[in-house]
Amino acid sequence: MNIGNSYALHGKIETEALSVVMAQYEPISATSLDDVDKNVETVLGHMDRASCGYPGYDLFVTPEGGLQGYSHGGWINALVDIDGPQIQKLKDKCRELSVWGVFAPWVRPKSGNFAENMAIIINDEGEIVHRYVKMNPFIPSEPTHPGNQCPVTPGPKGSRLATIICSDGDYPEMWREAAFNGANIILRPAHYMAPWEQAWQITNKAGAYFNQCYVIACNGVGLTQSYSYFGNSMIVNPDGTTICEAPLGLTWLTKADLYPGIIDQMRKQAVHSNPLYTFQHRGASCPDFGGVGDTELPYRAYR
Amino acid sequence: MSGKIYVSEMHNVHKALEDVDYPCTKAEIIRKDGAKVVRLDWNLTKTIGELVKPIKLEKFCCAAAFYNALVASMNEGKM
Repeated sequence: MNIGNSYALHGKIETEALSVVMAQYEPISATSLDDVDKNVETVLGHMDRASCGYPGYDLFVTPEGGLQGYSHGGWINALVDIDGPQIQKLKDKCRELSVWGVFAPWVRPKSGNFAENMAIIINDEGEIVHRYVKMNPFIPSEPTHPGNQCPVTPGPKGSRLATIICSDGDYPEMWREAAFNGANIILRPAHYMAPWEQAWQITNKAGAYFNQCYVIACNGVGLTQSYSYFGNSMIVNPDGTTICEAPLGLTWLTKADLYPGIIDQMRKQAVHSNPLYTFQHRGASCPDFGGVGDTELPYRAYR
Repeated sequence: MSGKIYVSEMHNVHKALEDVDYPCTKAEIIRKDGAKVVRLDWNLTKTIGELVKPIKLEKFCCAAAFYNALVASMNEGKM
């Protein structure tokens, strides 16, 4: 299932199985709420499709821009209210199917801030239980207000879910922040474009491996006024190996079963390659530090 | 037949039977989950009990045995 640690894991590992479906598709580049409504109907159709092909699934994941695409200039007329009818339809569908859903709307925030690029998680009772504002917008093209927190939310089947969005994943500290805050699954809704197909692969796998997390990276497809979005959505093991991936450029649904309890046991029992411990306890096996290691973080980049 | 096809019936059944442990008997499923109502079509709901009672097998060694028997039962008389 995965490579695991150099030291054996002991004992019985109890875990539930989280059944995840990702939908890779081409949203309309919305310039109005009518366009957004059409994209919402596409999402609802894919959720139904998933219930037909993968009965009993627990978690449904969509790309960044899944409700609005990326219209150059016109996007400002397609912002949604978090309490508005488009999000309500998603809540209703999650409740209808008893599934959790991950969606990434561009929002007109009530705070009066400029637009926010958000990821929300709706639970199987139709309630928004997680809100994340993209901390690293794709500047300068993406003028959204940056967030400053990476929350982790208890999800179904023992999962603890964090969301980072697209270009967030180009920053190693974002993945580390999500894992440090307790995530055993990091979701990366994205609208990642050519020619960075290899970077998409590398960052998802590195993010998983550096932090011993499952990664669910769901990308959009299609051509807009500016870019080709290439898809290749993927689900990655905590050792960086790929569980499944969608092809380039095609509308695609794919699915995997994840075992969050295994991540938790790995973090408890792993001796080597336990980065969430060792990055804060450098050289801990050296006698000079009493077995604790150097706990100061020396990196100038983070001062 | 026209109109949008309802596709979520097995998803709804599977959700209702999340707590079933195999091997098990038909009687155990009905005792545990028989009262739960599931949507089978746009205008059709049934209880798990109504759905499971007509299944010809009484015991299921695994989930595959149960769901195959269920689908066979649901298709009885359609041709």
